[in-house]
Amino acid sequence: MIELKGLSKHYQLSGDTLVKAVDNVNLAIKPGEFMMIVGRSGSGKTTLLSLIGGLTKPTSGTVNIDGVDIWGLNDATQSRFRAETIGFVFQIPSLLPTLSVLDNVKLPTMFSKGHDNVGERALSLLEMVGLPEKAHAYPSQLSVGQQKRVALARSLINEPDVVLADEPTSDLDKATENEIMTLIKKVHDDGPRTMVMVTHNLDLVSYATEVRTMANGVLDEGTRK
Amino acid sequence: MTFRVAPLVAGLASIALGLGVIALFAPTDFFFGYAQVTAGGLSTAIGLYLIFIVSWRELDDNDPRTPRLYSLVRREVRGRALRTVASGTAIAVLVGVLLSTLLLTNGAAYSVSSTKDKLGADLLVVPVETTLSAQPFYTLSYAGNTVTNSGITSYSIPRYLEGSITQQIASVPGVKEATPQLLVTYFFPAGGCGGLNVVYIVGVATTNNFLLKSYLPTNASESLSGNGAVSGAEVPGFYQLPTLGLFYGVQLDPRATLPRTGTFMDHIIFVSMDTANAMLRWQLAGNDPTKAQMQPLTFHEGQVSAVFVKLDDGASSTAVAAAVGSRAPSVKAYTLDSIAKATALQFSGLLSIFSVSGTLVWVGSLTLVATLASLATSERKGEIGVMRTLGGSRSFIRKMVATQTMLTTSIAGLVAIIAVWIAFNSPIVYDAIMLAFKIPYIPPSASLTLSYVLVAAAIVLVTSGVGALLAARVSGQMDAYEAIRKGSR
Repeated sequence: MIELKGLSKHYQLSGDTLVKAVDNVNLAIKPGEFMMIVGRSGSGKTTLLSLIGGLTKPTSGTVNIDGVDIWGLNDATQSRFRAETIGFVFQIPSLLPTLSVLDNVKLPTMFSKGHDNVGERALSLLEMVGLPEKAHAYPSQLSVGQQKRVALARSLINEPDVVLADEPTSDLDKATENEIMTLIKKVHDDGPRTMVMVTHNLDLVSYATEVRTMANGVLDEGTRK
Repeated sequence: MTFRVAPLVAGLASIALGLGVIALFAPTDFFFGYAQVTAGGLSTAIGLYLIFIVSWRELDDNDPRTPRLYSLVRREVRGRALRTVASGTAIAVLVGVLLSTLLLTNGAAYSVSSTKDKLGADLLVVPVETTLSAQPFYTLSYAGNTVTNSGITSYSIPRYLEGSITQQIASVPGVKEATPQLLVTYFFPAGGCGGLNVVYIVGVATTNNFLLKSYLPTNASESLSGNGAVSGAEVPGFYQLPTLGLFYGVQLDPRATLPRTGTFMDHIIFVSMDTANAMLRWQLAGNDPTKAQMQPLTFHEGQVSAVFVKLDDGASSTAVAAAVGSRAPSVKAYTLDSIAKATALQFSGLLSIFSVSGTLVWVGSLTLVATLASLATSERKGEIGVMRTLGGSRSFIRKMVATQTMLTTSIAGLVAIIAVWIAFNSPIVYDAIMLAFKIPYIPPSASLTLSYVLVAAAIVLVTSGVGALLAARVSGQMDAYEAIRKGSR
């Protein structure tokens, strides 16, 4: 269960300008739900995802994941919690260029407990995303779509309960977009995992179990699917 | 840590080759010597690079284990070779300059004090027109003034003194012993005509020779009898000389080699006065030395070039030097102290130059290392952001950045220390130092050298530590998500 209460992130720009990137968001996401938050660029959805993932400190409000107030934890504990509970898929491929594909997938295990069969698990995840033959390749040798699939595999290596995806299909052609979304749906269904995805692409809402819209930092009161 | 066999073996072979090139072949030419050290140093550096950078085994892609911090750092160091080399070079230059300065200044001081202690002479008496500077001490054997003609440096043979001067000086109150020396000639063993690639033949008295006594395993008369010869440390073996040890009709018999002094004594073949006179008689018999590429001898039998004087206990060297001057107006007596003082004066000038340049280099390197480390961290902010989102704590990121900086600087520092150590233990470098700075030089003792290495290493650690801390601070302050987004631009 993810619970956001009165969550805000404001930035003070030069002068008196105050930007309310996220403003007083209250949201409850049930376990196993596929929540999609849609909105235009600059609506604050990426900031919201970053607040949920414990990457950006809120100006006010709380984020509770499975009863843990993640902003009440110190950095080390919060980092460990993030490694073990949350998987991230970014808008950009975000693989480390000096590591092979397989090592990129293994990377999050550095920060979590339970390192058994890491190699095997990583390979099976690469099989799941259809790239077992690329295990020894380096990110620069992959297409953007392939890199995103690797990033998706990486997000699952620690078997997280929650996956946060930030515009995972941006910059992709329609066919690749469908491939990625099918994979994301599979990741959600196989868990079942709680999936929170933000996108500006309204064509993707059919994959979600619940959809909310966001504009000017404010989340709507409940446009359920 | 695991190594790949091929680059490891190649690295070890390269180091062995490098050290061998430097150590195993006596240089026969000044420029060849430079090439020898450069090639040897380069080969050693390549060897170290092969061992420490290339031979590190890649983390096996089938390795079931989780990647570790060290393997991430290692791959980063290798994967971004240009940045690694740039940071490493800055550190290597810093270490090189620091350690070179320490070895140079202390080596010169060590040479002055050890030579002075061993020499046993209190006064050096030379023709009155000789100019005192640091040079007489480092040449020590009155090599005469250098003459540069059309860019070619050679030596003029100084005026000879009549042999009676030795007795005259010995009779001065306060003089305990006086021993003469005769500069017979000089030659360039490799056919060159400059630099320190020169060998002097010097005739010495075999009795009461306190100058050689402290250096020789046996007494001077034994070593030099029957055309025996005692060579300075840098005189090539006679088998390497074009004349094969045959000079002016006299076949010299090598008996001993003197330990290194850091002075021109290292370039001298000492023979007895009898042998020197035998050479002269060969020339007087109508033989032409120029046919054997030797200079004609210009002294007469019985003449000397200089006299070394030992004083009675308690005698004032200054007073006796003055007395010698008034007794024999054609000569001038220099106290070893005054010569050492002249050296020290020259030396202190150099020291201040080194101090200033050393400080500038340190500040420059510190800035460069810190800047490179911070730039590298900024450049990697996207990756650092990714690691934060995957669960890397701020302290992990700091540790990773600091480890990387420390690893780069440690390897570069080690390479520089080895390179400087090799260079400063090479005879070619001794010669270059003596020629360039006009100071005597021998490497400081092993324990002193080690202490300088430790000092340099400590300074490097401080420098790289500051660089690492700055970089770690930059990385620790990043907003992870912002860093990912910025890193993608």
